[in-house]
Amino acid sequence: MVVFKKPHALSDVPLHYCPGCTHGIVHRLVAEVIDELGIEGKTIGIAPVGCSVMAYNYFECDMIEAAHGRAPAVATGVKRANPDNIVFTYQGDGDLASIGTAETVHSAARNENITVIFINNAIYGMTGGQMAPTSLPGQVTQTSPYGRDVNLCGYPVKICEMLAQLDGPEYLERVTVNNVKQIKNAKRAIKKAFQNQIDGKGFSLIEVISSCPTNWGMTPQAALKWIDEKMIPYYPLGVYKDRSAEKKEDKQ
Amino acid sequence: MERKRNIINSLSLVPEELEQFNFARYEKYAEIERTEARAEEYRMEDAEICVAAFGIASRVSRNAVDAAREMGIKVGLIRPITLWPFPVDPFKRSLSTVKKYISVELNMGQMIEDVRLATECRRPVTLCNRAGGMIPTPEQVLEAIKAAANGGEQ
Repeated sequence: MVVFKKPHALSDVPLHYCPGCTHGIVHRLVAEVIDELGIEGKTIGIAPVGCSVMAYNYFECDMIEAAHGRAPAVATGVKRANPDNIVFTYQGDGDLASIGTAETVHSAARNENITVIFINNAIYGMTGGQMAPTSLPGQVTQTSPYGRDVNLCGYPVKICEMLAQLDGPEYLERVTVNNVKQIKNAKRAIKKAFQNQIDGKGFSLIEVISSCPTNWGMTPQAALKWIDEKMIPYYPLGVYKDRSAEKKEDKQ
Repeated sequence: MERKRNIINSLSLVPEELEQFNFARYEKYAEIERTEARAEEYRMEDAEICVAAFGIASRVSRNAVDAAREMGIKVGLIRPITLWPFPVDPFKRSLSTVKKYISVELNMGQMIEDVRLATECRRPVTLCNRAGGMIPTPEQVLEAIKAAANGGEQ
């Protein structure tokens, strides 16, 4: 009897991610959701630029590799041209919260019926650990060796809080994957984000607080702990917007 | 999924594959260079001085060439219609009669390098230009032609 196997929506190739990176977990969660919702074959993924650029090799569905930060714009086009397909983007913070901020904000404002999986690990991973817009105050990176100085570099961008100010988006939630309980919770959120699209509700974004042991200069275990100790206090987990739930409350 | 999945991307991370891709692209560029280069040649038959100019500068230069021809100076105009691919052939052919080239441009001199490459630096090429949105008068170009004809201004 098979008790544990790879989700069907995940290709049978080795991932290139560093040991301890949480990309693998999130890939798996997305693939499990695609399996469970029975949307394989009509799902189209949009890969970013960054560590997960090669996501197009890992998801067993049609994939488009977008220019840096432009995944929500590409997803908009794909979804509007093929409204029956399920379209998701998978983007890191360097992609979604920096060069792609405009695309992120405006696709949310337009309430495009797409699903955005946003991996926030507070650093530029692929290019070697430079400070990202999401890097924490005081965080040591390659380009902030004395820690992020907010007088010089300003403050981190809180995407969920920022987008929650818009009337457009349907669903915004921040989760993490640093322990089993959180992984299960993250899967619930990701599934809801896909279900919302199937139900035609509009723009759903799940921000996943992730670890980058390599560029944080930590062991995988220490990195998962750092999420609890540093990341979550600055980026509190939870639902930031749920328009359908708000509407229900209004009726009652 | 029953069918083979589609992946649309523009990056190729396998060197062996990327090299073949580069070769294929350059073959295409070479074909474009062979078939798409266009230029107009004006009064070039016996020209000893060649004015090279495109766009607005070429219309100004045409008047200057006519004025210089009336003075008996053997001057013609090559007007590239495509800047890439650069029309190398008219410049190569012109080498049989032309002794000097003048590149008339509305910038600090960008096409002058293409003229030098097309003529393989076998003749002097000078610049007659205005910049920032200013436009040379036919008189200014005529002065440059006269200077070239008088053997000055290398």
